[in-house]
Order: sequence, then C-alpha cells, then structure tokens
Amino acid sequence: VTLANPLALWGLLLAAPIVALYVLRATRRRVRVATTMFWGRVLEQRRRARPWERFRQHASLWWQLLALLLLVLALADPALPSARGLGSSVVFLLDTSASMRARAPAPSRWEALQSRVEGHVRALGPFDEAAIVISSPAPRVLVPPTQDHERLISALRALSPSPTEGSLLPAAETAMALVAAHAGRVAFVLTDGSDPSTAEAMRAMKGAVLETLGQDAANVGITTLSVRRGGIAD
Amino acid sequence: VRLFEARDDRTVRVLVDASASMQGPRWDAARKAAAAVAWASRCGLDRVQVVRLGDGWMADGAPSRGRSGFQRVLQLLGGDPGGATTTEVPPLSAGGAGEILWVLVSDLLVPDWEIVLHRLMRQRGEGHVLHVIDRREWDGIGLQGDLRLVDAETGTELDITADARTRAAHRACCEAWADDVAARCLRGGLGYLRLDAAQPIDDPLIAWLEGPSQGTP
Repeated sequence: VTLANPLALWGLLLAAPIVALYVLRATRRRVRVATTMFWGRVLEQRRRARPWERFRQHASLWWQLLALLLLVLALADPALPSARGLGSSVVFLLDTSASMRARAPAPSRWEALQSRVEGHVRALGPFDEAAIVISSPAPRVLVPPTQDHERLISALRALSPSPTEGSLLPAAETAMALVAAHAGRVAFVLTDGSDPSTAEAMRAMKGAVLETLGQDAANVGITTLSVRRGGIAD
Repeated sequence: VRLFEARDDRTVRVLVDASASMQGPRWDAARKAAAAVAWASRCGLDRVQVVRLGDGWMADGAPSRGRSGFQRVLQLLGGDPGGATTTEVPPLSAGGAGEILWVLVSDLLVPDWEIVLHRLMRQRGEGHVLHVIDRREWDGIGLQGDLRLVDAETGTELDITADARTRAAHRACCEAWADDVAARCLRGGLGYLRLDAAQPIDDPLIAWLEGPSQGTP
C-alpha cells in the first residue's frame, strides 16, 4: 500500500487530545453500595465470557478514534500500486517520427499520443516510476526513470515530432535496456504503426506493450523538392 | 418457645453486625431482630448480653437477667452503623460454665465471611445466624447506566455499566452466595434464618423463635 500524502499520518496524534478530553469529561454517578464484591464478580464473569465487554463501556471513545483514523487515512490517500493499472515501473517509447504529425485522427496523431501518455502517467501510483524514450531524430532517453510525474508530463508537453522519418527499432533497444534493468518494468510503445514491419517486431518483444494511434489517410504534402540553377522560363 | 425454655444457667449472646454495609433497611431489620431475641431471652430468664460489632465490639454490659436491663440494649442498638466488618469474634464462652447460646445478626458482606463463621463454629455452645439481606439491593434497583460504585466499608470504587443483564447477573450472584452461606452454616451445625430487609421480618422471626428453625424461610 502506498500513501499519496504520508504527512497526513501526523493527524493520528490528535488521538491523544481526544483520549485526554474523554478521560477528563467522563463523569460517572457515584453510588454508595453495601458491597462491590458481587458487582466485581459479575464484571469478571462477563469479561471472561465476552472479552470485548471491557471495551463496550468506552464505546463512544472507540467511535471517535475510529472516525479520526478513517479521516487520516482518507487524507493520506492510500493506494495499491497494482490497482492503478500500469504497474510500478514503466518505460514509454514514443514514436516521434514525422508521420506523427498527421492529422488523422484530429487534431493530430501526436496530440492523441500526448493525451494517451499523459493519461497513463496520471494513472500511476505516487511511488510508481516512469521513463520516456523517443525515437527521432535519434533514439535517446528523454526522461530517465523517475517518480516525478510532473516532470514526465512537462517533458511530454514540450516535445514535438521530428521533421524526419525514423525507425522505432533502435529506440526499442534503448527502451528494452531500461526494462531489463528493473524487474517487473514494462515498456509501452506508442506509435502510429506506419511501419508495419516495425510494429510487428514490437509485438514480438517480451515486456513491451504496443499501442497504435491514428488511422490510415491519404498523404497530402510535398515529399520531394528539386532545386535547379537558372531562371524560371517565361 | 425453643430459645426460651427454662434453663437453670444459660447465657444468650446476641452479636449484631453494625458495620457500614448494614446501613439502611438492613440495619433496621437487624436491630429489630436483635432486640426481639434479647427481649424474648430476658423474658425466659436467660442471662442475656448484646454485643455490637463494628470496627471492634461493644456490649451492653455483662450478661444479665430480667427485663429491666432492656433499655441498655436499645441504647446500644441506637445510632447508625459504621466501620468495617470485624472478623474477630468476641469470647462467647466467658461468663460462666453454663450453657451458651449465641445468635449472630449480620449481612455477612465481607470477603472473609467463611472465616467469621469458622471462628464462631469453634465457640462453645449452640449458634445461630440471622442472615440479613436486602433483595432490592440484589436486584440493583435504582442502578442504571454508567456508574461508579463505592463500597460502603472499604471505599473501593468500581465502574460499571448497569443494564438489565448486569442486574440479573448480580441478583443470581447474590442468591448463589446466600445459598452458600446457608449451606455452610448448616454443615457447621449452626442454625440459619434469612431475613429480607425488603420485606416485613416479623412473621419469619416469630416463626423462628417459636420452633425449629433450621433453613431459610
């Protein structure tokens, strides 16, 4: 179990004044009796038969302490890391080639990728770590494994696709090296799948999860430019 | 009348428990019973002495005959009870070589009640116990909720939460204890009569004075 706000546990110290106030407040009506001999026996018998009896007479105190405990736990925001979905350590391998600029789906594949990765990061537990590896223009580790999720998101937002084409395979080697360095770490590969052979290779990698974005669309743009010396013919 | 058959030389000693636990209706019942026994004995020409037991013991004087000394008995039984129940027993066989009959009037509300009875059993003569109880107290009438009980004799404090179940358990505990006392007396050859201060004691007391009185009413 991890706590998003472990400092909230200091709130448990409030139990001390609660107990103190209870002790100071507790006033019982005093009754003079001929003997307490039999009442003592009755209490002892009941405690032996039902050990929780001794706590029953302080029920209001226990309810107060339970309420405090639940409040503090709520503030501490406990979570099971595995319940957050992704696991305790993740490497995001991002396809930053030029094809990610394509505007299908709208507004663009790249923005869809950013949105997807940001969602994944926010789903991480407070002590889960993640890294970002990019493929273009040259494969490199953009953000090394870190628990600083805001840093990951900032780096992701500042990133834009490269104007050049690139292959995911060299970057995959870098990502898988990070995966191999930590037991249980997995790689999430986010690409538009424009290179079917690369995508197929990714699927075959152990410890890698392939997420494809985008959809097929006709390319519209200048793919080749030829420059010649000389004037323009009239 | 069994207790007051004419005897040549019999001394009747009435021991009255005047400890703090006897306060309230029990004390009224106890001194009424003690006075009745003393009066009937004096009428029967026995030599009678009443001993008030508190932190120690105090007698109305030497054992004496006749009704004229009864005023001293009433004076001795005046006032409120107080102090702890003594487990020391006064010398009951003192005052002559004649027959001894003693009567203890007490609630026996002391953890060492068996020691008290044992010491009395070792005394010479015929012994009887008038066990004064109060069933209203057994029932815990008036006790409800979170309470701090204070023992009248020891000052011991005990926190309880009184409810119907607790009170029922207390009543059962008291009844079992009183039955133990009765059984212990009968095993030891003592007469036993239980007097409930919550009820009029006249009839059971007269019945006991008039005839065989082993056991509880």
